[in-house]
Amino acid sequence: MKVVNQKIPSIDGKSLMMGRIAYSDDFADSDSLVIKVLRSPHPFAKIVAIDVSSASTLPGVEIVLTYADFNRIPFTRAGQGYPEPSPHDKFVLDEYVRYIGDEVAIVAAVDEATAKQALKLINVEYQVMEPILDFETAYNNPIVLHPEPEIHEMFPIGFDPKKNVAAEYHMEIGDIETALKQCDVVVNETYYTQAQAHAMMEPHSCNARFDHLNRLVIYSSTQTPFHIRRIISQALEFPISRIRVIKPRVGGGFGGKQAVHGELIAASVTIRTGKPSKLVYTRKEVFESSYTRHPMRFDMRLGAMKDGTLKAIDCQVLSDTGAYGEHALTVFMVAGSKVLPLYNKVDSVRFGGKVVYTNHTPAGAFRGYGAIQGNFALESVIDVLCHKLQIDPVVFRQKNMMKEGESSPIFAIMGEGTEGTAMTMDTCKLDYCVKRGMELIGWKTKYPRQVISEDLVRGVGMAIAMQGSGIPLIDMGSAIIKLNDGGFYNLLVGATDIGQKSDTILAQICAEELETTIDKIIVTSSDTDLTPFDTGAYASSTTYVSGNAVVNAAKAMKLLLIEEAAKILKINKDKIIFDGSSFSDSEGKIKISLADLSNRLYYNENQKQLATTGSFVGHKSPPPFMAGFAEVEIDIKTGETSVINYVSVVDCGTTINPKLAQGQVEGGIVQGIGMALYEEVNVAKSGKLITNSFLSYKIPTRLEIKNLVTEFADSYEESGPFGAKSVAEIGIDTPPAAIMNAIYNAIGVRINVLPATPEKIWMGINKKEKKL
Amino acid sequence: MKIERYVKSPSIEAAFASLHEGTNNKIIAGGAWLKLTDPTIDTAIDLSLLNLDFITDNGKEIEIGAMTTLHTLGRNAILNKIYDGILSRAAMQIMGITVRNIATIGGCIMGKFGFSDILTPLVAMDALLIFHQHDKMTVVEFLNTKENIRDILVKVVIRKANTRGYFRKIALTHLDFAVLNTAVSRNGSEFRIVFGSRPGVSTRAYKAENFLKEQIKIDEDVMNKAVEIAAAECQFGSNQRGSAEYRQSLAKVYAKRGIKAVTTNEN
Amino acid sequence: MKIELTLNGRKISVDILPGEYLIETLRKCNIHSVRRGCDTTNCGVCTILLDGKPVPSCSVLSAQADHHQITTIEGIAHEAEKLSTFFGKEGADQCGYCNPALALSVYALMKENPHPTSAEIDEYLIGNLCRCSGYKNQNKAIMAFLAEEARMEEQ
Ligand SMILES: Cc1cc2nc3c(=O)[nH]c(=O)nc-3n(C[C@H](O)[C@H](O)[C@H](O)COP(=O)(O)OP(=O)(O)OC[C@H]3O[C@@H](n4cnc5c(N)ncnc54)[C@H](O)[C@@H]3O)c2cc1C
Repeated sequence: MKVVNQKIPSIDGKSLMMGRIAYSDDFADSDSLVIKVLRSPHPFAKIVAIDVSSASTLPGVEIVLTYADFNRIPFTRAGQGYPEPSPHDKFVLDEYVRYIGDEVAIVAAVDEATAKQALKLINVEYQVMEPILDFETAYNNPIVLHPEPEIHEMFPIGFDPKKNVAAEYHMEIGDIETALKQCDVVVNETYYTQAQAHAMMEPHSCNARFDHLNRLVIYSSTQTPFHIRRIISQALEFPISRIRVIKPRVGGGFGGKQAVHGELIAASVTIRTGKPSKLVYTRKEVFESSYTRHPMRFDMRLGAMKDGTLKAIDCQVLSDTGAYGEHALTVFMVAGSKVLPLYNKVDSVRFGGKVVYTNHTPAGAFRGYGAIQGNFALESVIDVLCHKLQIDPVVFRQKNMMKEGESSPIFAIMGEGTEGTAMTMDTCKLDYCVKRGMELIGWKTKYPRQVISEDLVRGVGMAIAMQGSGIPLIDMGSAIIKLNDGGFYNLLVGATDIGQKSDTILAQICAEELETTIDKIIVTSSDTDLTPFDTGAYASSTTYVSGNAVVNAAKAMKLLLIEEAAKILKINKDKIIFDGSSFSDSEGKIKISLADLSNRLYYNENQKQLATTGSFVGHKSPPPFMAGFAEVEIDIKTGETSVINYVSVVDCGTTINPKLAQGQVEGGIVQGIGMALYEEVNVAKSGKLITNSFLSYKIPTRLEIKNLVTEFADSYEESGPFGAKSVAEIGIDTPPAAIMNAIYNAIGVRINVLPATPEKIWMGINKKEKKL
Repeated sequence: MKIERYVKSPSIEAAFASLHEGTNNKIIAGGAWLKLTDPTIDTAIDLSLLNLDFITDNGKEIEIGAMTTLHTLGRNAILNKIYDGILSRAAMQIMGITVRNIATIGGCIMGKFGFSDILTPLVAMDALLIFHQHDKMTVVEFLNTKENIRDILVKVVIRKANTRGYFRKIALTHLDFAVLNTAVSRNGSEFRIVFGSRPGVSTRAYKAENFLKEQIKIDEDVMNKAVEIAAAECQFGSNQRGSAEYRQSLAKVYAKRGIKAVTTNEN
Repeated sequence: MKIELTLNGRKISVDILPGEYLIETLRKCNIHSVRRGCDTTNCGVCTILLDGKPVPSCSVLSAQADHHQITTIEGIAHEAEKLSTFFGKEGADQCGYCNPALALSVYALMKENPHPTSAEIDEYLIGNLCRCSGYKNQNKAIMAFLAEEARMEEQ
């Protein structure tokens, strides 16, 4: 392979570093109305009266909108395929507010200062109601957060708003109680994960205007331009044919920009005023009023035999979706479906639980998407079991984990809202990943601990993980390739580059198939008018799904080219040899260059445009796998802990671009380390998010990250483009469990509630010392 | 921030006069912290033209102009030596280069921030504050006074001696405020043990210092006793960064490490 | 009020409010490369050079900068382009939102300390947060860039 599997520099990196116009706000019209949103100071309240008269008449204010200005159309902001597996439980504006930061009113004014001043002039009388802030009390609570009659599910997802349930699901393979009874050893543990923030560097941003055709054109920092177009049309009853959504460069998403943010608001303002408008979230709004990771509780029971055979897994989940149910069902499902198959040889596995509403900032999609939560619980409790069995956790995993050629019944049972898709692991190099990871971390010499000094102890721990590659039979990607005179191509893709560099990856795939170089592929992505459909950047789908669509389009283009060359060269098309830049017969005597062919096609003879379309929808979702090994150093006097080494060995099939793949893995690892150790979420008794800025919400800095070792297994997934599977999410999954296991191995303290702050570790050490 | 007028004062007298022209007039040094408090100011008084950005060594004392930035403190060769460089070390652990380039020692002192990593080493070095009009006072006196000093801090003076020093900032990440910071200094048999970000403002452990002064030999046992005394006499509180118990425990650990550090490898 | 700035080598005069910050003034001057990240000086995304030193443009009043020199990425385009090739080689660039700010900080570091150790790089750049890259490839790219610049300097 000449282009694929090569460390090619990204196609847009240079211009981005040079600060060119690129991100949503750079495209806002200079005369845009500036939008500010009045947000609820109460976690749960009914708006009894709202007086906007002084705000509306303030000079410079163009429009003020409240719930009274909108038809009551329930929808979901989730930004998923249609019909969505998330409840339609949201209105653009509602007379109820359900979390601190929820939208109350919209102001658009000539400038920011005026808009801010107008916010202060809006008089709202709230009937403040008692909120639900503890998700463990939400189920069947007399306080009902969503009493409104219009809300509904699109198909059965266990939606039961009267009991504060956004979604519910249960499944059982075998008989869990019987299986556990037959085990020599049973362990039983509870784990909690926190509402991690995406903390992408670019705050959510969008802007709107009407163009020369009187169509609504929206630039947005979104991961799902096509879904956004559909949702705007549905929620605002505006013809879909008059909406164009353009996604320029996006300054990071990680799932946080999958769902609708300001698009409906900016669209409403522009539709009503006819004027351009823009809405850029403040960092506080990003924290308080966008989305978070779903916090979850896991009640885990494992059963095994003395010889280390795992027999039964019971995983019961309670998930907190916050005020609205975006991704409520599916994130919770993935906590099982992309975690439990790791141990596919058990007699029985049971999974189930509820996703409940609370008066917290809504949860949504976030890299890992349930798998990181589930992985933390399962891979922690596996280690607990190993210690009880006195078996090396690596040896235990090697015995019980998924192997190539095997399957799990879970794949067929659990899908994303619907049934799943049965599949066999055609590629699974987990065995290699574990073995290589052991070597790289030095497991044999370092497990379980090394005493460095009177105060410092080091420990190693590990975890294995899997993810998916798109949602089978749902996620769809497509590509159009257009040949230009001069012999270069346009590649038009709906796939959404949000900084993961999918434009580069897809260009590499296209160039490889067309046997050309990457400079000959001009990528245009994510413009609902210009590019073909794509579900968007989520579910680790782009490389696998959109990549396959590009392969299909490129294959078709190659056939077309050869056909045209055959006509011009007057030889049978089977005899044509195309090397990417010229066509010849087998002896190489008769020849025409691609540039000449294209020029003739457009200027001279039988003129016609060559363009092809390729689409792809997965029939399976081949999981990438990885083994993560953490080495931690702990000050046993203070609990201060750092990850001094993190080894990742990943099976993602072919790495289309090894350097960019490494970037995906390491970026994920660091976010995972953040969730494991630093990203504490504090909510006041009032329901106010305390950690609502970078002053108080701490993501890892470059000094927290000591050493990362990342390698890839030699692997080729037949169903993927040039053998590729996904690599976007898998990196984030292992750090919480691997680090907690390493901490345990170092000092015998187990942290079941993330994050493991120094104080928690210190408390654990104290407790242990008291017991001794 | 709402500002009516912005003046770059041509002289210290002019700045002082501006400050006293209205109760809502305020001095702006780096302005980084002021921005976060989003105040409304009538006249913002900029000191940048007053040549208060200097570090000099007159043999007996080191003088630091109030407008000296944290980055300059961190990189200064003189400060990197005295008291084993604790002021420089503390400065370099505050935020990133951008904040260190604007935040000034004057702002760090006059803000009396509870979280301050600068006040702790300054207390350990018994620094003197020189104002334009007000009598000079030590940092400790300044921290203890209830008086609202509406004056211009001109410079900070550190007296030179054969001294040792130790400073540690304990924080969740390198960009966070301290859960606790600890400084220990020694000048002969005189020790200073200082805790900051308790979360209250930096404070000395006088009893522990006196205890240490009376000892002939500073051994393990003495150190353990000293830090128990220190942790008992100083107040620690709880906030989202840590509980009082945790802070107290950290104080013991780091005070001991500090005492050890300043009593070994004698130069 | 009116202030005078030397913006990327060109003297300009701008009308500002006394409470206005440089990030806002620069937008008025049609500089789009200086972007907002957090507004609390924590993220480093809005970094510019004030008299050659990296500062957070979200928190420096424009009035403070009166009669001073301001450099944005446009002012060091040549170096930024060179640095970007090293980022490209290491796959250190992802969303790119923080990259102009990072390039400015690296440039300032180079001027201050042309031969930094890896630890010194971390210490200098710690305020430039990145949520995408995992940092390590960035550091490799920066080291390689600085080594190359030092080599060129010697020649
Ligand atoms: C995000 C962030 C995180 C921070 N983290 C830390 C940290 O972890 N540890 C730490 O120690 N510090 C930290 N700081 C504080 C930083 O050091 C402050 O910016 C600094 O303390 C204030 O310095 P300044 O020059 O910006 O002062 P300003 O903000 O300009 O002024 C602060 C106060 O002092 C007054 N003042 C300033 N100079 C004088 C003078 N010469 N005479 C009289 N009054 C004066 C001002 O009127 C004002 O009331 C942080 C700051 C920020 C913005």
